[in-house]
Amino acid sequence: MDYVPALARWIHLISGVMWIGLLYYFNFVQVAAMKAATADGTAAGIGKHVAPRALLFFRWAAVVTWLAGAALLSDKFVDAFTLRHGMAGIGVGAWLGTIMLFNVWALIWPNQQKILGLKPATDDEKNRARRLAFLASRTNTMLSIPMLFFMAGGWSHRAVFGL
Amino acid sequence: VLVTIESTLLAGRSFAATGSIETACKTAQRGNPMKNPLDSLWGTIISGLVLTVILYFVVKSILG
Repeated sequence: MDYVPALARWIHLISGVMWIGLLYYFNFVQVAAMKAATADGTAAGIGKHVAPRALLFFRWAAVVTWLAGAALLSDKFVDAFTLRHGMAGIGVGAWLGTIMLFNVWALIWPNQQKILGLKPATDDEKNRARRLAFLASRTNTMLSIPMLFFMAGGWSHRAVFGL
Repeated sequence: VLVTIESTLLAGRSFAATGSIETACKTAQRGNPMKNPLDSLWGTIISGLVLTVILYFVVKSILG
């Protein structure tokens, strides 16, 4: 048994569950909860104690997932990202995951820092940041659906393409 | 008589044109009726499913 791919696969799955699990928490639970909590004046607790912790695990789980995935692809990394040599299925999954990682670090996290007051911002900037972070997060939720489909197919593609 | 009919028709056209401009202005004032599917959870999920189907056929054609 080769320990590196086995370990990489295991870490990829654990951190992937944490990343996508927290993404679904934000989109399916926290957005609606924040709206209700803002209405009855209890949103501060979520913004102060829950969101920063969730975001911490969310953004670092994204990095670990990508790195473990890259280690798992190993010498097939280039083939996957260029969709060559029968690696198109997992390659599309890898591309979607990479776009999602970019969204986390380039769009969601910098805008969340403004929303949560970790970075100075005016009210207008905060409103713009809220909309941008929301749309980037929803984009990732949308992309996660095909991403998981192609990741679940693995390298062989037999599960989804029967090839 | 013809002149009267013609002027009546032109006035009617002008009225109709004014009406359609007013309707367009009112629609513009109300805002764009098109909604972003990502604003709703169902819109997001359906968009994801549609993208999955499209990519499935793209990958299938690449794999042969």
